[in-house]
Amino acid sequence: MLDFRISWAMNLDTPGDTIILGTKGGLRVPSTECWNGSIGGPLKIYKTVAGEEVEMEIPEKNDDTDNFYKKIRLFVDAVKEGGKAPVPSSQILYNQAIIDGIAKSARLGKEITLEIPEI
Amino acid sequence: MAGSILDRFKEAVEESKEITTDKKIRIGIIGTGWIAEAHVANYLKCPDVEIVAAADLIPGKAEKFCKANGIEGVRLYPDHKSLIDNEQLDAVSVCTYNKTHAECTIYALEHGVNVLLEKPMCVTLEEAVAICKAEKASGKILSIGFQPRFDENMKMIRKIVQSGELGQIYYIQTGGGRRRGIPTPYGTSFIEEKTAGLGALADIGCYSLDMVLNAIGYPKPLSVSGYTSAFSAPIRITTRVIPNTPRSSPLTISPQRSSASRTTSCSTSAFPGP
Repeated sequence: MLDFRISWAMNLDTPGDTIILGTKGGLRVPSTECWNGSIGGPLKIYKTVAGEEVEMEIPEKNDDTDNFYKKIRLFVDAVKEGGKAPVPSSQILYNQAIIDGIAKSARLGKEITLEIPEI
Repeated sequence: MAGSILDRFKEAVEESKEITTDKKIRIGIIGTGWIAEAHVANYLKCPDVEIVAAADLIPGKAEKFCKANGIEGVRLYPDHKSLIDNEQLDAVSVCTYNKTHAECTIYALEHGVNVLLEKPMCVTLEEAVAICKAEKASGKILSIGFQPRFDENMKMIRKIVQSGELGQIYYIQTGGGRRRGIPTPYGTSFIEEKTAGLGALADIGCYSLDMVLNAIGYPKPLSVSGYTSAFSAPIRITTRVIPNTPRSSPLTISPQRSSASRTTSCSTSAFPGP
């Protein structure tokens, strides 16, 4: 189950952190505007260890990575070497399917089944 | 002897690849708007890349762009077809507004040119399928422009999930949003139906979706329930989008209620369960 919200303009500071819940632990990703690959604070994992409820903080990595440069550089490397695409379309097809599904579902006013053909 | 014992304690360091410049990759830029600036700036950092041409539908725009971004003198074209037909290109960056992502990408792939396609991939699922089919048939490389994939914190989110530390994932909540950040970097191409096709959902929503879907390995989604809204808010027309930055004398206009430019979207998606 994926619960998702996005807005360009709202009367709120943030619609909330990203939360990933699993059978053995939960992850909180402090919220940001989400478009620039940043996180709003250290990641937190919530688990049970030896019967105790614990929180573990993952230190935020602050390197000088220029993500945009890497995007360009890795694409150029793939073109030069005949390698794989750094961000493959087969994944983003599912991303687009969900976006398309939200727009269709909103128009129809009901839940829809996604029909994604095999490529 | 001592050296090899100590070697076991050294962290494995990723060696950065040496860039060879004996062969230069020839790049064309399709769409000389806001995001193309970042493409050009970063291509210029690559000594093994040559930007040879640029195309834009708006007369004069490509020329102005090239002068302003350090690539004056590259060959200019009025559209993607004439650029691809007349140039020997290794790859193109597709930086147009959403509605033309599919046609530019498919044309390039069909003509043997690799593509770096900006997000969102396109406007509809049908277009996305057509793009994927064209990629498969062409044997060329298509990469989609999600730069957060390369961020170390974003990578950590995926590492944590993939490590099994959280067990089996059964629920995700994600998203984002701006208090006031309707993008109008150069006019209205982000917010009009005829150019953008979709609003916040595709413009920034795709990023949150990619972050969590990439973390869990991009399973095939099964169903979606969604809601969108577009309540009017005054838009500051500025030369750059800097959300939530106070401006001393904003140029403010109250837009007409846009039927297609959705500012807020919410949804739930179901995936194959455990």
